[in-house]
Amino acid sequence: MSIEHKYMIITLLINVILSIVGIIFMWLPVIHTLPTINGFDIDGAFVTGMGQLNTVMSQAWALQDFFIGFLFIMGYYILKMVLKTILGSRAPHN
Amino acid sequence: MGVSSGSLYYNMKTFNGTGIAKKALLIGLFLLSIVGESYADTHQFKYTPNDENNTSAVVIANTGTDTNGKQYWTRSQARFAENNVSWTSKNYIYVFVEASSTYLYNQSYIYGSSTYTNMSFYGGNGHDPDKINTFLVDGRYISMYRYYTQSGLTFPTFEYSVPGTIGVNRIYGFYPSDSFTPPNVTNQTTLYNFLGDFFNSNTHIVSFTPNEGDVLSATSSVNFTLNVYINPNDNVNNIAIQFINIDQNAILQVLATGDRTFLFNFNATTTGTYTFSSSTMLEKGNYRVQASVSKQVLNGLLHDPFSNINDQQSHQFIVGSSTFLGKITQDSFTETQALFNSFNATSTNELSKSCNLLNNFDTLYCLAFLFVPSSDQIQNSLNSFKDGVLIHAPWGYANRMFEIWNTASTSSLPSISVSLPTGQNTHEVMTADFGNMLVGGMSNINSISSPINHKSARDVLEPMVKLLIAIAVVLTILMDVMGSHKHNEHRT
Repeated sequence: MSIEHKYMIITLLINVILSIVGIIFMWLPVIHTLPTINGFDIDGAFVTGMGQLNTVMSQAWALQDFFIGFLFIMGYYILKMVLKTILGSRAPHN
Repeated sequence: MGVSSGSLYYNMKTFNGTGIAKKALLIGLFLLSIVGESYADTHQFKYTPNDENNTSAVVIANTGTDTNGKQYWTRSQARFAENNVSWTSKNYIYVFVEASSTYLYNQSYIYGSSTYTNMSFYGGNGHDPDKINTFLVDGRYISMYRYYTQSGLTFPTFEYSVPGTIGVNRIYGFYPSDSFTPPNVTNQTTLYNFLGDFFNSNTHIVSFTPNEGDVLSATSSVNFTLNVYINPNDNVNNIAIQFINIDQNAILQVLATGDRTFLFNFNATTTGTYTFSSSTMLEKGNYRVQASVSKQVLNGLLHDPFSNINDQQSHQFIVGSSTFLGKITQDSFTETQALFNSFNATSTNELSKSCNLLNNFDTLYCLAFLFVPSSDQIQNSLNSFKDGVLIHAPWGYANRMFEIWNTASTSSLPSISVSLPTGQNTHEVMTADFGNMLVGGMSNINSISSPINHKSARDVLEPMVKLLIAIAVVLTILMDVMGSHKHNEHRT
């Protein structure tokens, strides 16, 4: 432990809070993998799917560009949804 | 300002003023834009590996480290075959060798054949490069041997196995196109600066000074240098290079623009390497020098979000002694950067010395040390939170999803086989391997090159694809906004 970890007051407070929160939730089960339901390995499916997506993205540069464009549009809709949620009927567009 | 070939000197203090000084800035930038093209031409070199006709530096060997415990290298082992970069028949006039060793107690010599009028090398791992490696240069390849010599013996009369590992990290060949003065390569920084940083041939910032964490004398000038590389394959239009010094001696100064000094503000006109240097006196205190190279749109108002040319880096440095507010600002910036995995703050170690009651006690610095956590501490706390709380159910499922999403591993694509009857008892199996189809298809597409400028299909098509996607994104959002208006009016 370096000197800064010994004496930092803010760090001490943060660590105390984290310790308390950790103790509160330590009885909950630890999740290492997603569950298998009816024999279907959800974790394995997601890992494989993500790996295949990485493979495709690493080869097809055009898809990467489309994906970035898709993320922009999704970002817009998420922003719009958040505004609607917060502002309700006072949101600029309904 | 001094440029490595040609000198455009100005005192950056003039930019802190108003009126005449600002007019001088505009005139200076105008003149700079006029001389920009010739200025850039004198500095560029092009990096095109595996190009027989290139006149640039290429990586001609990447042999890695000897991990088999061999005590010396033979020619066949050290040849230039790895990483698929071949050394063509062109004679490289200059050869640079970057090497490393884990054994210190042998001595070695540098030997260059007559083919090479100049050869330079850099020895890594912090060892003295004069005492670790021997290189033989013979026409088209370099072989590295390890020689152990005793006092009174000279190369190559004695060869002996010694413990430890030895390796060539990379070997670079360079064939300059024009009149060229070889740099004095004495360490990794000067080597990479010259070669344009081979590990990254994208348009990027190669280096700039002052370096991060520098503590400089207040009685001498501060040297500002910048080296930016623009890839020849990039469209040079609207690529802006900026080099800014920010005075951080007042809190939140980082948000203000008044004390930002533009050391270099230039729109590139040609590809290649741009260098800049300037020196000036600065008051004592904390500063941050920021370099950026980016593709811009809307006449320089915004960075192009679809361009991969967007490199922005900053270094923080102290002149003379630091000021408290400047230190806080500097630390805050560093903490923020560290949260986004950009920098690691080291300032708290310095500040901790201010809490020593017996030596150099300083109340303000000590308080800052006690109440401003470092990035390491914040990172440790976040990791503790993740390991202690986030991995538990029910949010552990979301955490696991995030981990899977962040993984960089790849999986092979599935293949589908169909068995078709071709006779009474015969079948033909047809297999569609999507992995091979994708790799082969993209390889074929990328192998197509323009007959005019020899650019690949990707180089030609990608800007168009990006433009079309950008237009589609903007139109989609615009249509939604306008459609929402219409819908809203209709409802009311």
